[in-house]
Amino acid sequence: MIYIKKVQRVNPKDPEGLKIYVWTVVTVGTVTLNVLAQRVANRSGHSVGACLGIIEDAVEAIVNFMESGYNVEMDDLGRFQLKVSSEGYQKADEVSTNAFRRKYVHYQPVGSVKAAFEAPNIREGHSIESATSRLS
Amino acid sequence: MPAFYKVRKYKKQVGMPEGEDAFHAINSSVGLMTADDVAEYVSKRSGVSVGQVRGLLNDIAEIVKESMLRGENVELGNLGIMQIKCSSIPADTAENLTTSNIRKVYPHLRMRKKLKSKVENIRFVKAKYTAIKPVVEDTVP
Repeated sequence: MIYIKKVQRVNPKDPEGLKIYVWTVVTVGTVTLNVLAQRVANRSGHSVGACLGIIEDAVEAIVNFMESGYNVEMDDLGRFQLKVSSEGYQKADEVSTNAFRRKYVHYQPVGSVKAAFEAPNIREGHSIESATSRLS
Repeated sequence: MPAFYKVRKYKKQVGMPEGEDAFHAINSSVGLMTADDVAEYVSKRSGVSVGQVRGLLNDIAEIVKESMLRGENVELGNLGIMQIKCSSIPADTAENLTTSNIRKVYPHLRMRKKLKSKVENIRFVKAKYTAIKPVVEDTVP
């Protein structure tokens, strides 16, 4: 269950004008690396320490591969890729690394993650307290 | 090894004089690494077999997905935090905002500061190659 709530925001198209209302997701908590390792250990039967090590190594592998210019696709997690955005120029020759506005890691859901978020189970939750669940 | 970028033409860009076409730099990947490659990398470092690592990676992916579908953020170490975002059509009043205004609910990666600065320091060079189209030759049965 994903909880959402209404929030009032400044209209980016008209910052001086009336504020607008949009939906935002209420986070019910954060799964830390240790909690994630604990959950993986419970499922797989490996020790928490081993799972923590595997998670850290896998993250390091993804970052290293991206630094080397590769996109990384983890079957049921998603695709990670290094991206750049740049200013636009009238001539192709004018575009260089000086035109870069931002370098960032882009995450794109694929496979079952993508499918799961096409019709997620959502409910309105006005406050974080009403939507909080135990992290275990 | 540096990362690569290439220049691409985008039609009728906002911000360009009279909405002209504009050339932008975009990233150019050198290839695709899969979960199998990640498993091999991890196996070499950890001493755990590739098969076992592959199984653990599947479990990790499944748990991350389940956690996000419960509305939880998930920390992925140096990579960042996986979180759920919601995009909706804005309304002028709270009453006019209904669930039908929701465009999509999607997972998003918020980069860690450490990764951000690492990414900022990655050296990009212009890709000098072009994709070579494979030619399929007629085969005689």
